Amino acid sequence: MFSRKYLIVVLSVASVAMARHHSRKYVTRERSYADQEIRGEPIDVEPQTRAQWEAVAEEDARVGYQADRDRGVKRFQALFKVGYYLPVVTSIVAIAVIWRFVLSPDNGLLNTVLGWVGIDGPNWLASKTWAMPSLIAMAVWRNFGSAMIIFLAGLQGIPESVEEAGQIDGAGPWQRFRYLILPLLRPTVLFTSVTTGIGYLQFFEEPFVMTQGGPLDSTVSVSMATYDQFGFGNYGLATSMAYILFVVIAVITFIQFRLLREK
Amino acid sequence: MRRTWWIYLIGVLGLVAVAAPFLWMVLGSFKTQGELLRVPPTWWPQDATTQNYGDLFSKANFPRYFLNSALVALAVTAGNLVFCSMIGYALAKLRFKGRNALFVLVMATLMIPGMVTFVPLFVLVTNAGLANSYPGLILPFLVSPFGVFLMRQFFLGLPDDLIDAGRVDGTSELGIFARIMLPLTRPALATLGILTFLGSWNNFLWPLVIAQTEDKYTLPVALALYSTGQNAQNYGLLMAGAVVVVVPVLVMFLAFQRHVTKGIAITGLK
Repeated sequence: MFSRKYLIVVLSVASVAMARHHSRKYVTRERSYADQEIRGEPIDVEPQTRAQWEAVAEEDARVGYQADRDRGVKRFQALFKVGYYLPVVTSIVAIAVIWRFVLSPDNGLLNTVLGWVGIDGPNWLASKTWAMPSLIAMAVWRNFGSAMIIFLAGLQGIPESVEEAGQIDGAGPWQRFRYLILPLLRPTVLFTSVTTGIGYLQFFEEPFVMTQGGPLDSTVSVSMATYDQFGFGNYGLATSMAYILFVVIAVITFIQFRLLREK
Repeated sequence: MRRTWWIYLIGVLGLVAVAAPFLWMVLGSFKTQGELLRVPPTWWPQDATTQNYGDLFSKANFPRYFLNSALVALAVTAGNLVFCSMIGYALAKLRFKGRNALFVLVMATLMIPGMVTFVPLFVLVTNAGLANSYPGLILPFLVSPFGVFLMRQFFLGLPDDLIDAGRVDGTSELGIFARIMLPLTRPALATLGILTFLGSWNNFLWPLVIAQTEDKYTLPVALALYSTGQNAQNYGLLMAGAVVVVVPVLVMFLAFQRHVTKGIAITGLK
């Protein structure tokens, strides 16, 4: 049941993306025909040669990119996208190494900045209380960009007329977001929470590099424990742990589907 | 701009928070060990040095790790481009028995967490005598269900008429695939190629267990082991090492970023 639903989500998201992708191609081609007509040029109804098909495909990619900046923050949108996305494409190991310095107690970046406002930051990674929140904060920092890109795509899939209708009915910005946009974003929220959940239930590199599971095992994740057992040569135990993780992931994903399904 | 200035403000503050650790890394890689330990820390290197980068060559074997990473990433990317496009084409355009069942099977493997297949795969590769070898690092990743899915979806969007035209003209099936259809999928191939390259370059767990001697380490493995091993206190070396791991990815990403973000929007996968 779980697997089929997951499959459906992956497929539907992809097919929606593909459908939009193709409708854009259609629109552009129509538009360019219209231009040609105005200029009195002959109209070729279908691309005939391979070169033309390639041109259509290239155009496709470019139009898709341009359509991404049609609303909201228009200026520098590419810069924001690239900037926020940077940590996602960077090696987790490199990021974990960098963050160890950022979180270092006496002269780390974070505690220095906190010092400006008079806060005496703790030794983040050596504290049983703060080690896990630190890793989580880093994970949020790192994954922010991928969630942002998915939400951006989801938001751009909502036609502007929806907001206009809300405006006409006198809904304020918050009401429009809460009662119009958010319900329409449900599939995007579901998709993001499912993929992020599956990814971070397998949390491994961060504790491996930053804390080795310490202090006092406070940051040992299932994957970390599995890896340790594997390292001791207990292959059977390691695999059993991984399978239990698989079941837990399946159950949590199922719950997410139940909570976020269309009502 | 009147009512949106605060959105830009929040956006810029967020960008600063994203960029600060990277900036800290680059600046730190040019500081001496003494300066890195100073309290309070310095922002700009007081006496900038390239010593740390020199150490990557002399104290550690980073050029070797770099070449290993590049070799593995290029081989994996090439394999994915070849195999995923072929399987994707077959699943989208060729009619044969069990095609849909095969597709569902491919998609089903997308759902299995990497941790589950990790130990069996390790046993398999080790028993095949491929532990601590380049084939051991490359072979398990030569084709990915995500890539098959991406290519299949793209091929579905191309018209069958092209294939029929090729058949009428007497082109072989392989010729139709390689010379007519494949060139049309260039945007999808670019997305697949860049995502695969980044994924392989950043891959950690598998090379960590399969590369057992130092000469087979990839960059992330080397960096992780240096940062937890006896060099854990050599901060400058680690900062410079992190720069070496991050910069190629940064350059690739900036060059191909629209393919990357588009791929993410389509699949939601990393």
